[in-house]
Amino acid sequence: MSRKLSLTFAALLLAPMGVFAAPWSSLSADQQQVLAPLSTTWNTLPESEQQSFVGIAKGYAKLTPEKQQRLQEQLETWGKLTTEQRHRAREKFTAFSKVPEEKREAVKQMVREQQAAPAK
Amino acid sequence: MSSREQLSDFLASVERRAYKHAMFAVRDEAAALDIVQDAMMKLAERYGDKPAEEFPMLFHRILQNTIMDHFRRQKVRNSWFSLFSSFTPQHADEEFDPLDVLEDNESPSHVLQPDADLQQNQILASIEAALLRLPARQREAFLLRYWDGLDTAETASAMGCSEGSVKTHCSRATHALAETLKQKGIDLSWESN
Amino acid sequence: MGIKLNINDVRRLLDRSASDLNATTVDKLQASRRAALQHQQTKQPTLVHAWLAEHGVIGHHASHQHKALNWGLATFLAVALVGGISYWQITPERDHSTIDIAILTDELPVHMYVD
Repeated sequence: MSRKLSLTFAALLLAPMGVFAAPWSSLSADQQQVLAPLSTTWNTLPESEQQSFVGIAKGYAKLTPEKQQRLQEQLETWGKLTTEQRHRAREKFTAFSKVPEEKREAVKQMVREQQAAPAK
Repeated sequence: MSSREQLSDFLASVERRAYKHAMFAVRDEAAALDIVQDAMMKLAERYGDKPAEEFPMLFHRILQNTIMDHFRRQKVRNSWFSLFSSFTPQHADEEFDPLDVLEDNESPSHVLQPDADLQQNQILASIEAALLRLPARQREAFLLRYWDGLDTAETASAMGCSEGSVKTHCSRATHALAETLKQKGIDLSWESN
Repeated sequence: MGIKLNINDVRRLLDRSASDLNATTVDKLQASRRAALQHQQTKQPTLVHAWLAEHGVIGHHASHQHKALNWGLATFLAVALVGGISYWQITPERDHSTIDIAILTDELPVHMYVD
């Protein structure tokens, strides 16, 4: 009885270290398909990050086909970043979203031009 | 002495200097007050139970980071530009780093308070103007070492850099200050009495 | 004829400028100080300790069946308190999937947001 309780609390102590992280095999087939670029590194991700990725897989179904394709294009790059890089990227993205519309549009226009006429 | 008394004493001893630090960096009274308030709050909330001898280093580190956050927020308003520069390779070397804010040739009078002793005031004005002309990192290293009295290790910790960098920053600062002040007829030497 | 200063003079002059701040500024700084002190983090094992004692988990009158709970919970709390964090801060990351989807489906490439 007492051993069971102390094991429980030992598990609670270990929880932050990702002991309860979901293994790749526990994802549904659909989720595995969406998150395919992450299959090899999945088990190295902290639980909180896995949560975000599962959330992405769940939200995927509600996206338009164009957005789904865009997400798939970018997911591999995103998955290769470190947790810290993703964290900072979210901050930058949030900051950028607060910039006035015309300036954001100006950046997007520059990017379109760059992509149309690559590397001079 | 209770930890509350220790923290209270520390904050009372540092608050004016902290304000001056912030003023040198941001040159805006309202922003400087916000920064100091923010830094005090973070120190109290996150480290209020630490040993009092750690307060100077912790507080100055927080203060530095809070000042940097201020610059980042200002930068964020122009963030479309920084994003652009991170995208186009030819701009890769031109990243604007607010920490390298360079010389400001103004001598803002609101940094200085009027006083009866005119010559002291004038010398002080020259020193503050010279400090304002320093690159931010050099100025901070100088102030932390020679005004706040942190040692090299504490200064490195507060600034988030190596002790070697601290020494380099200080040495450059002292040379630059001496040079600037010499042009105003002030001979600055580094031996203490 | 020049003025000679050394490092102590510089420090004294800077101290002087710090002492010369106007009254409004000084008042605001004091107000900031008081506000900060009200938020001072102090480890409060005594409150938790009191709760545990009150509920018979620890202390002289703790019942025997609570002993295992005692040690597990006490260890856990000790770890959390010594670490200066609360249990609820151990896993602070929320689900970022909404913003992640926004980033991944955006016109701008992901690498623009990466240092």
